[in-house]
Amino acid sequence: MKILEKAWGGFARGVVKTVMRVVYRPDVVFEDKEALLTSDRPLIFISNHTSCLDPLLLLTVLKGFKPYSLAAKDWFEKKSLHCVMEQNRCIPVDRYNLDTSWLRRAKEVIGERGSIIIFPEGHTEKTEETDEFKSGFLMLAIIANARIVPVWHSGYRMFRKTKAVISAPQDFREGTRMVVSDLKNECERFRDCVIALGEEYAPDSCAAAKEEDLNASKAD
Amino acid sequence: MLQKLIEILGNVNPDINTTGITETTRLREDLELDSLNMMLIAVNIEDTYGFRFDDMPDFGTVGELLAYIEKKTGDAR
Repeated sequence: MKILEKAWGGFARGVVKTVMRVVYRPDVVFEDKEALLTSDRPLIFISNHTSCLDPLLLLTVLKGFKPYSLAAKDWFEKKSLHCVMEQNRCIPVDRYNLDTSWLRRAKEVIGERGSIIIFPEGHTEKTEETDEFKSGFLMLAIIANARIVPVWHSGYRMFRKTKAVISAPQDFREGTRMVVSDLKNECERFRDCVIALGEEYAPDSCAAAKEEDLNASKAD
Repeated sequence: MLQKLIEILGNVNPDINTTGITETTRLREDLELDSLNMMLIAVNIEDTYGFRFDDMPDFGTVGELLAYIEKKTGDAR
């Protein structure tokens, strides 16, 4: 049974990555890939969250890092998705109850040099605004002594390029304590980092999209 | 155990007014603890008492939280 589940999980992963590459054409920019590859500490990728496709996009573009990802427990409990999520390094998190298990589990699995993807907004944000960040990623960074990697992506249009920008890894501010005020301040700082990536790279991606639209209309 | 819990509350969020906290003090309404506060308190309690909040409990008052710790650690209040 386990072998079947593993095979199904691997198959699903392959299909998803192929579909993502063909349909959403990730255009990835690493600001400092070397620093990510040679990091001697775990990495926490934090990204804006615009769609349920986001984990799939990041798992595709970060495949070399074999990251874990946090997934809402309610998704995890869907029968059709459970096996796929389980086989693809997803850690369930209960968003509505007092759940500390994900924090312990995440610390354990990222160990000394592993990585994990977290969407700190905690839900998809359909507007252009990036919502307030929740502090879970920072708590994990503190207890696991991890570095944080801000990520921004442009959102999705079928058969158009999806820009994904992976920043250089950053440390949380020295002296950040596990207290409410410190966590809120640092969260705001990292949210600003993600927004800044978008502001820096979005114009290019918009121009590229317009150019693609123009080329498509010419071809028609 | 109440004193220890009050100490944890004060450490996690120095803005909490810890004077006059009793077992009937309500966590959300009286102390205005949001999910971040509760998460930090839970992690601190886990580290202090060596157990896990593994059954997704929901607490209304300080007394309910104390009773949970007591149940998990087997200590008498």
